Amino acid sequence: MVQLYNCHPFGSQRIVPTKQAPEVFCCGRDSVFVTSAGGCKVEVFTVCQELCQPLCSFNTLGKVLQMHYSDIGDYLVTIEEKNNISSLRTYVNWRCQSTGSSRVSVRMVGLQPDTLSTASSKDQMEIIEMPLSENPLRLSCCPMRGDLLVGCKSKLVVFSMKYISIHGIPVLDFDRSMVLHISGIVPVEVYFCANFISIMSELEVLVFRMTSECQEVLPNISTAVPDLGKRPEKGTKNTLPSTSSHLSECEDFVVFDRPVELIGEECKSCNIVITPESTGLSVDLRTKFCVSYLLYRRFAPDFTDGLSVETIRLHSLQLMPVYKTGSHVPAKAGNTKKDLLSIFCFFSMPHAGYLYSLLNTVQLVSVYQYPERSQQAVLTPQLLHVITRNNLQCFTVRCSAVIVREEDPYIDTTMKTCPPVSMDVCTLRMQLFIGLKAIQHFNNYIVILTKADIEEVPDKRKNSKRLSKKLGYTKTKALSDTEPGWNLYIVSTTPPVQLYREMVEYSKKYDTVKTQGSIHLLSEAHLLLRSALMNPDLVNPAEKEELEAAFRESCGHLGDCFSRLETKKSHLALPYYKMSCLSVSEVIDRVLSKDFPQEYGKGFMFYLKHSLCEDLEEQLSEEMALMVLQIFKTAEPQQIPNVLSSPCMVNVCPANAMAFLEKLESNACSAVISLTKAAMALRMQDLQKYEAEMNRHPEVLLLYGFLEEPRLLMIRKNKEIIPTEMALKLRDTLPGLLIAALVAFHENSKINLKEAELFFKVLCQNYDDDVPQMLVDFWEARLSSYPPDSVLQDVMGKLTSYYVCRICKPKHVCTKSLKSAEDLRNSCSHFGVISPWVLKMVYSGPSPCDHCGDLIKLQSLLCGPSLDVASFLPFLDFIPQDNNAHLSIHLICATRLLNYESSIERLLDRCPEAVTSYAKHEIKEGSQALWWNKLLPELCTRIRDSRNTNEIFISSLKDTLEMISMELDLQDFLNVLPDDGIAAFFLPYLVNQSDKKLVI
Amino acid sequence: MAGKSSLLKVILLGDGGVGKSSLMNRYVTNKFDTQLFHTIGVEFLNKELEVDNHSVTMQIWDTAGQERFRSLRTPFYRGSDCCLLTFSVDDSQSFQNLNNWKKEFIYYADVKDPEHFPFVVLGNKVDISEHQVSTEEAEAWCRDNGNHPYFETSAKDSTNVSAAFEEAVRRVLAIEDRSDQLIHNDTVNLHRKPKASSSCC
Repeated sequence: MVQLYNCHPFGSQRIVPTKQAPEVFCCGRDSVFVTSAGGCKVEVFTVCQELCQPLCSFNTLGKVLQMHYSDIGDYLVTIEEKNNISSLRTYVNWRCQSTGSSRVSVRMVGLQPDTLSTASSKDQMEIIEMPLSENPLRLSCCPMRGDLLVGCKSKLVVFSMKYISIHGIPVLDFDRSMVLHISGIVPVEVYFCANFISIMSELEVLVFRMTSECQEVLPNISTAVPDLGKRPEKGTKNTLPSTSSHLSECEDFVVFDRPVELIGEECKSCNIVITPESTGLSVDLRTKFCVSYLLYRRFAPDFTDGLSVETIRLHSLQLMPVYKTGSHVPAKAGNTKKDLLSIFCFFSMPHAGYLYSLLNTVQLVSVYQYPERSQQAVLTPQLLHVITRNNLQCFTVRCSAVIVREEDPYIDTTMKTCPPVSMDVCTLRMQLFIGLKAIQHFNNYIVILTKADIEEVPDKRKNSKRLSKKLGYTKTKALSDTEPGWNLYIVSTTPPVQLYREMVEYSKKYDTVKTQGSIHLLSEAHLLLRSALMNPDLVNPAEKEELEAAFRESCGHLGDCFSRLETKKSHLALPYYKMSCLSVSEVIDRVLSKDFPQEYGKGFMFYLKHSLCEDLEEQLSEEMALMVLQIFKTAEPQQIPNVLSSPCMVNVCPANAMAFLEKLESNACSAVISLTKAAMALRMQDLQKYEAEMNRHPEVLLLYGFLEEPRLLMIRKNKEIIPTEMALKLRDTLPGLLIAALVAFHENSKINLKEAELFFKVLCQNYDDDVPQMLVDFWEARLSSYPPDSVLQDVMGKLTSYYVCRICKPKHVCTKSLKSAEDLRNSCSHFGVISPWVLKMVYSGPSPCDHCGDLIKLQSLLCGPSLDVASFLPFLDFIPQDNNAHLSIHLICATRLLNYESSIERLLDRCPEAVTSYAKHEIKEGSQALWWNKLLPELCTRIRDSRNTNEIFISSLKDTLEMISMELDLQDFLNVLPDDGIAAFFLPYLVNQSDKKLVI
Repeated sequence: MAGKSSLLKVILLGDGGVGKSSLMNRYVTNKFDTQLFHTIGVEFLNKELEVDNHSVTMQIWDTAGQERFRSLRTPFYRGSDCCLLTFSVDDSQSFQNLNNWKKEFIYYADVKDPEHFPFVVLGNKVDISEHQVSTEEAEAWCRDNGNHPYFETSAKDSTNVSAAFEEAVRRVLAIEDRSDQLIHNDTVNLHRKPKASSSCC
């Protein structure tokens, strides 16, 4: 079903003051070109404001069958016929031809710069003759580059436009850059845009793209040639260009191919072969070109209106480029650089039009069902204009909805949205015109040709003409008497903003009844503005500002609709209101001002909840805050605690809020309600009440309460995290609960480590680089909660770095941490048991700071299984080795990296009393040999050096010998014993050793 | 009025400097400029006129006479309805070259029936007193080469210019029934063939 509205997309209309019936016309930039004088003269009219005036006229070299104006290059290209020969010609510098009787210079395409003089071209019209080996049938100019595509029976020829400089003056010329041999179709229409080409026959459309690199193996020349040889048969069959010739020739049977739609690679099965042949002339086309098929459609003839060719076939093939918004930099006219974003393809059968989007994926965007047989159609970025015999119709298009999604994959979120591509198109207007024949579009105008009742008079006219010819007389007067009924109109299209306003007004008719109608019309109006804003030629800032304001307004209207109406899409109220830039208060005012105060729409509640959940800057006034509470009391009372925690509600009267909460609590009590009440009590400075609320639930439940509403403790503002009053209170009264809550937030991804860091720094008013103790407590607590590995490493990194800083700073302020090393070891496995030799080392010298426990925690972490020692190594450089406590850290690391020998040496040097403890503890299976290979000889050497006086060494030697005697058999034991020394010293171990042997 | 007329392509050929552009200018704009530049390539002007009740748009193609512009001008010979071979009466070389011009035209214009193609010969610059080519000489050449009409013209003082161009139109209309070229030819060539042959008789 196509919705029909009665808007006014067409504004004023002018009549092009031609003296004779126009036959061929075209338009572009600011001009309309009309042929007259039997097609041998072109009259040009400029259109500005309310006027349409003759600009100039010039004679052509033959009767113009077709012409096209290219804005880029400002040239007119024609297919002309004289003496049954069709020629292709381009008219440049035609604006010089004000009188129609100046000298015109003619040249062949492909200028030889040296043969041209300075005098030519600047102020003289030039005709470029472009000979072709086949008669040209159809023309198309690329709107982006000014290149020209000419369709002949079996080939398409691409002429690329260029300027060559002749004595410093740019002169327009073309290169015949490429020939595309086609078989299987004879083009009735062609369209060229960027590297996209579409060709159309009576019932077939093919769209393809020229690419410079072959993405896939296409049939190369050698395989294509036999193909070409084979195809003509098929070609000629298909070539019989009109179905009518079939019809007239074989009355018994008419066989048509099945209608089909092929997309992308599938198109290869369509029997149309395109073989590009580069002429090597154009610079940018020198690379080898490949054809990639995008779309093929074949239709069954539409016999609704009888059997004439005109009424069953395709028409109005068009490719419409869309440019990237914002990428367009305003430049001099005719010199603008636009980046292609997307291409749309339109073509039409008599009763239905088809709009495809081409760039990334080929997809059918819309099908237009016309109420009566169409004659011609033109697609513009904003609207589709279709003419039937007596109606100019205007349909809405979905291009902007497609483009928005092409440009912004995140369009459909809670932040922004756009009406769907799939939304039904509608007819904005059907305007009566008598005898519509042709339509064209340029800028803000459509040009339409009407010829009334032409069918009724032709016989008479033809007869009289024949007669006049015989007599050798011209009888122009007689003719003009018989054809009064033509007109060439220039109709201005209504500016988008104006049409938008009308559509909004229109939609208000539906306002009182809850219907989808208003949403549909408002969505149409919204899309209209979107497409107007996408126009790369929109450079006037005032105009742009007006459009943007209208755009915001339209978002507001759509927000209103979705907030109020019960639709499946009521959640769209949120993004539309956001895009409208309305403040929360404004939205509330708008919604409450409507006549539905008793129930709040789903969409509105969704918007309100989301807005209050987000960290908006806006602070609602006290009255507005109360209003919000009342709304939630009616609609969703259980949300009140969360609503009150929103930073938007900072101005709420706490006493009022307390009353709402108490009412709520009377139904169902919960931790989050109590906590919110406690927060309100704090704001009222009622500490008693605060205590009472906090004591109402055990800590675990409070924790859940916080988790339900983290904003009780922290508020986000511009990427900052701000602790609430309650958090400050907890810091002083219940730090454990606060830390547990933050750990819970982190565990539940309500906050990240960086934010937690910020939170504690603000909380403890610690703005320098110092790490507040509470943050350390938080890290330690986080470790104890078994975080995932990534977090674990991160937190351990932070903690070790902190510990290192502390132990390296001898004069620090001691702090009391929440958990001791012992607590940590008991609460999680990441903190390991510290080896006895480490303790021995620590106790052997002056201890850095017992009080803080940072050294023990670090040692414990290093001894634990989780810390990767390699990642800790860089810290070692910062730790001095001046005392044994510090040295112990180095040795723990060395040991964990299996550097036993060096550790033994260092211990012997620095803390020999710990060496046997170290050896016993660390030297494990597989490296026992260290006992006799390293420790024993080292000890002996040192004892000798100390002349047998060092008791610590001697005692260590004894321990070592005992150990070795247990490990080695007698022979080996004897071998490792030193050659010197008193036998009595060693004997007990030998005896011990042989005893062991005996036991075994 | 402008529209319902036939478009006749008339081409001016002849050596450089014989006054082709001046003839065209004199005829179309009734001006004469002694300082005219060499024509580069090909240019044309339209002139609407009525000859024997035929309203005609004459498209006068002016060409560059210099040899070096040959490649620029020859592509445009095709489709001409009449060729004006021009020489200067004070330059016998330009007269002798008429043969070559005629040959060049017939070759490049791809004239199907050179015998009956309308040529008009113009001896320009008769205002100059010292003639190197006599009227008799020129008329003899015209007679020997297909009975072309000959006009002695002067673009400078406007002698015979209109007469020469009008004669060209008359020749075209006479030699061929041009009614099919009149633009309202929805009627197709059915009557044409017999008529054309009858005009031969």
